[in-house]
Amino acid sequence: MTPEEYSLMIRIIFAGLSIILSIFLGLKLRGIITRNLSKFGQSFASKFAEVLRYFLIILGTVIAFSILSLDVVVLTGISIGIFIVILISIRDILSNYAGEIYLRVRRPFSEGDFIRIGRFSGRVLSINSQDVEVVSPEGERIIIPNQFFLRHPVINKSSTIPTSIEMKVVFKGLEIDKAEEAITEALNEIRPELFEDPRIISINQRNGRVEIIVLLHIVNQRKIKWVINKLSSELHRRGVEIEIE
Amino acid sequence: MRSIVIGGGHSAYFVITTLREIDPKGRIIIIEFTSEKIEMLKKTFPYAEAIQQSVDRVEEYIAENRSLIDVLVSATDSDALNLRYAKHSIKNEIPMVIAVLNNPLNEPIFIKENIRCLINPYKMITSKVKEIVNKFSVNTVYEFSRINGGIYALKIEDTRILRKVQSFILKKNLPFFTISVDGKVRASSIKNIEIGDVVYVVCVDKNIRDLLEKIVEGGK
Repeated sequence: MTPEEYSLMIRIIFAGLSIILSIFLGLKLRGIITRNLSKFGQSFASKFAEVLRYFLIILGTVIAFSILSLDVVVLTGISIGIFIVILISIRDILSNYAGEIYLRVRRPFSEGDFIRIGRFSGRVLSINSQDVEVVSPEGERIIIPNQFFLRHPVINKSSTIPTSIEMKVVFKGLEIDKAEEAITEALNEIRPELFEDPRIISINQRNGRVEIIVLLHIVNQRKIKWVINKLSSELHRRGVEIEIE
Repeated sequence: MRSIVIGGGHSAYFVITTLREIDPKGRIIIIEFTSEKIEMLKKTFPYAEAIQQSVDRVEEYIAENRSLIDVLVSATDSDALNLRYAKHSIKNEIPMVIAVLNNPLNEPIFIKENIRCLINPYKMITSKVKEIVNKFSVNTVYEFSRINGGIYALKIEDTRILRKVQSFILKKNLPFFTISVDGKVRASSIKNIEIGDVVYVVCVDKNIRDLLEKIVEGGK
């Protein structure tokens, strides 16, 4: 065996060892990561571990090629090129994964919480690796990519149950006493649907109109429209002309 | 507040009376499956509305009234039904969904299904037995539903545990009080804690787990 052939054989053995070692390390690391990250969700932990395993295998392969002493410059160039192309083509996917990591680690909300992000709001149905599924108060299913949560502030409304709403009721052609009496009676009618007793914050008379601001506490936010309609129908039933702002 | 209670058994009785107590002017609707129980419920709870529904029509009722229901408590005598209704209510975005367990061994199934407001009436047995017999290291007296924390009782069995508990309270600046062997309540200073006392602290469960680990490590 010539020295060149001997050197090539040694390089092949080391290259093979490099690949075997990377596969072995990848498998070991997968187990460790899955165990340690399981608190963030089993599927997330196993996905993360799988990505790292493949990364190690690729790394091992690249090292193997370099051990084989193929033209390193060409090989590195090709590898970097492929890596950049892959990164560009999957940048949104990676960004969504980063979003998932943020959601799992920071836990700004959980499944079942009512959230608002940007112009979307609704109850969280599921948190996935690429997106968060939300159902709006109107019943529309909204899929929000995880990267959205890295760029926009999230308001978790579940911790602020119940919601307090201020409402201005304007009475036309009615004395203050009569307006207060009418609104008190109407509020008593809707009280069973509210979280607490409604409160009259202020009563003002301007240009022959009585403006009353009331504060209502509502648990189910989808009930707001219903409560407003019920209040106005109660007042109309009493023959009172009103406007609600 | 519009509350729906499904079931007319013992669990439901306590749920309904509590809901009435916390919101006397609120609306309580009881859903039951049998006409005999409906009559009984109407007499027992004159302030509530009792509706008879078949087992399979309850979900339809929830879906139809999803925008008006504030609280739904699933308290039937069957955990399978409680799970089914609670899951359906969460899917229909009812703001507060509570399930009452009949069999404590079913608790993990409910947790796995993301039913976070879960009442396990049997949980008290453990802490009560420990308190009455007075033989324990740590007793979970009460666990909060909205946060991962609670009120924990720590028995001071020796000087090592005493030191650990004192430094734990001091470091975390936790509210606490002590009950001595003769049943006297003290809340003055951590220096006054003595061996044999039971110290009650309010903290998050992570803190209490850390303390337990330290106590176990130190004992090795």
